[in-house]
Amino acid sequence: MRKSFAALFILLFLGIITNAQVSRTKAMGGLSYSILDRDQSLSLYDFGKNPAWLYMDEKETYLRIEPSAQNLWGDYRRKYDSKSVSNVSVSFTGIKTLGTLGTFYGTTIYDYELRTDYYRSVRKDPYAGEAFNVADTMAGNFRYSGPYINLMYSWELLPELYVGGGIFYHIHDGLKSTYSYAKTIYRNTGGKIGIAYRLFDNLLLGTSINYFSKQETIEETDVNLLDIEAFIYRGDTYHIVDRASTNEQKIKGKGTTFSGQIYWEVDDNLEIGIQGNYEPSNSKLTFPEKNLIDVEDGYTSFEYYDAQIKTQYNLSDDILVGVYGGYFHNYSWSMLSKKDLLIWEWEINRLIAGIGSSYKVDQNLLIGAEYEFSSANVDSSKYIDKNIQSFTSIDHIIRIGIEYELSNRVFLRTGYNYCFYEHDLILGGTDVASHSFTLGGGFPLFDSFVVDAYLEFSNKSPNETDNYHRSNIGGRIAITLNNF
Amino acid sequence: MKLLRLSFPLIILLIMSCNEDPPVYQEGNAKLVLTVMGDTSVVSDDTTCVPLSNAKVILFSEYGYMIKYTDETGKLILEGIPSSTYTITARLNHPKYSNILLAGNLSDIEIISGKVVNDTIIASQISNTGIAINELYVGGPLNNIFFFYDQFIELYNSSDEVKYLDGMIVTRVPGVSAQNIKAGEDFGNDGDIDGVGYIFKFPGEPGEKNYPFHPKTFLVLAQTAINHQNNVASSIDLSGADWEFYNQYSTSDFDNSSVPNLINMRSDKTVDFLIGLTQDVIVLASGEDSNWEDGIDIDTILDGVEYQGGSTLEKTLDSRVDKSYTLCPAKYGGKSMQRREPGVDTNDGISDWEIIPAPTPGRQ
Repeated sequence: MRKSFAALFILLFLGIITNAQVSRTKAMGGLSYSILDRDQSLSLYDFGKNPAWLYMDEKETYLRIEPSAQNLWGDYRRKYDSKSVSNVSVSFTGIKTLGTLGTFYGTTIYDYELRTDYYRSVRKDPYAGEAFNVADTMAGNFRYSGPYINLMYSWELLPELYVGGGIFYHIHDGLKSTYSYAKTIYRNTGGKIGIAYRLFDNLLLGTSINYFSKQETIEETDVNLLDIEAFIYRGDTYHIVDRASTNEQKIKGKGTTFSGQIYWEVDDNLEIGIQGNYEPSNSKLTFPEKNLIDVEDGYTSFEYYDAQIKTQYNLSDDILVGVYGGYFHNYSWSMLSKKDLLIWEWEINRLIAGIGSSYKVDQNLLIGAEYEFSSANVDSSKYIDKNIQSFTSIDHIIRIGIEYELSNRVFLRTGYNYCFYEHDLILGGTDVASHSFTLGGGFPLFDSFVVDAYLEFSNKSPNETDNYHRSNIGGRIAITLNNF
Repeated sequence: MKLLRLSFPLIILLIMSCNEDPPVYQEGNAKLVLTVMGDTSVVSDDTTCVPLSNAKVILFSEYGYMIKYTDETGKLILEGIPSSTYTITARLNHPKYSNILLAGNLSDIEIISGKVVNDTIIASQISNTGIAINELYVGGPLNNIFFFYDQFIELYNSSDEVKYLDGMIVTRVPGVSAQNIKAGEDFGNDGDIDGVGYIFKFPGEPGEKNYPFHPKTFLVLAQTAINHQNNVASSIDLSGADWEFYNQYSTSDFDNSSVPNLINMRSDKTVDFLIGLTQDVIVLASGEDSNWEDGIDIDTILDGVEYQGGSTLEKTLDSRVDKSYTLCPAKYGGKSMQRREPGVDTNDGISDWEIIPAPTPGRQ
């Protein structure tokens, strides 16, 4: 039985906008808490994503340029998935320290994505956890491209009180190459503010609020002015047909994330980072009725909260032990707006516990390993389709990473990542195994440049059917200029 | 500090209040219990209603068509169908007489989740005794050069006797927006339908018997009776059509001399009988009232059909001609509209008609 929820996890798999600063740990199998890394610390900024702590977290000015490419393919996919996804992007990230005036952060990413044989859906993300989808009648290639811009600034407002804020703007335009020639304009914009306060020398408190507003406008127009049929799905089975020379639908959403963070340096050897997030959000599908005014057809409400803890303990000069725990709650419901009827309700509660360690074998060799146990309770009631599901998925993740310093500041890195999902909440299979291999390195180039790069190959397949897989190959190069 | 302690729970409450509650009622809990009864008596004047088993039940809503059949007790029980406003029709051929159809329908049935709708359709006998519009092919073949000149109207004589076409008229009734006359409506409630756009006429006068229409046969009225496949490969051959619309006031309308003509009655209209591609009203009338300017008397109308591109548009044709409308296919898609059973007209377009994948001129 295939089960697909995928509400908040799809970005992880598609990697549309990934964190631009994780090349080193990505090359090491994705180690995250068992290793000392300047971009994976437990600070309010790295772990808690609080912009106020940018000022204290980033003390060096640099410019980083990161081209990346990725290709995803395979038959293990959902109904509306494309046959393959190719993605190339380039990002420019700059940190400018201004002394006591604060620190400025800016990043811009230009992303190009080609979805081959994207099956009928004309939505950018048909699996966003809503009960509504918009489709035409044909599979076709769809390309998306556009920039993402994020600006942040942080400074010390009062002694031991830090404030920060930022804005982001993301716009993608998409075009289908056949039949409905659907055009989409997706934009997501918002802002974030945060404060951090050093309560004691070893204890930091932080809080932040993040607001986003997004809209996807879809327009199907036949270039020959023929009639276009758009199928607006309510659930998986039933749809209404919107038919005209030009059809237009909009999916509008907004949400706010309230976050709190604690960083506690218990002693020289033990650090603890804690964060909690609460995010209510919603989205609505509208289209013009009788070609005149936009009418809301469907409405979806989301509720998300989590609590996470990360600790790192120096067992000795050479051994670091990391522990991670998290609880994640996702709840959503969708309704038919005109009839005020509930058509889909789903809830995922996930508990994650992980432990890992890194060991500096000698001056040149670092090895690390992590194990994570995860339990997800899933309830889904698609009332309109009479499809009720309830199950628990026990998942396991193992990460192994090695870093070897060949010579002064020249590194070779490799890693392996194994995941076992009893129920794959993204693609719907059961007893799904995923293997990922990474290989990378880092070296200085001239006096001012540092290059970090990695390649990744992953393969995911359920055991229920042979030869079904979804594979991914990708890579990223980070060129860091330390003086500019 | 005290203020901080007090404000903290308030902030938490404020944040948590952002969450919304879902609607109380869930979709998918509607139940329809439908009983189909029909009068199967033929000779007696007393109606004898019996449950109709294996009757075809067509449910139409914004979600499209759903076709089901009654059980041996004449009942149809549907659970979990989506909430909507339904038009339901039931039909069954008379068990003994094939020319009699038992048909009945229900309109505007509100089916709402959480409620049980219990209703009965009484099917009455419809004797197939007249001429009806049987197929409308209006949207053009599959093409991207805006070709739609292979339109045709197909008629069917479902009676057991020869009918005569002399003087009959075929009209398009799109309404007059300048006078706020909607397509096919009885403007002024004077017993006729107004807003005639085009009116073409068979030769002769009503009552004459020069142009027979034999029982159980089809007639194809072509916009232009030529082989359109010579122009567009995906089109159809109408060179063998029975009749052709010909506008004698046009300087460019092609006339196939081997096919008899319906001629234009409006000298101010100088183009061919062009039919709306996705929306129109087509009316066939006896011709006893051909004064189009004051409207065509409803009692002279033999059949009328309104078709539309979507279920949210307003139905305007007078309900005495047809109480609903039919959905038409997308233009330039090569599909056609046809009655489900040849010539069977229950005056309920949504139930009587269906979209077929390709035109079938001269046959079902």
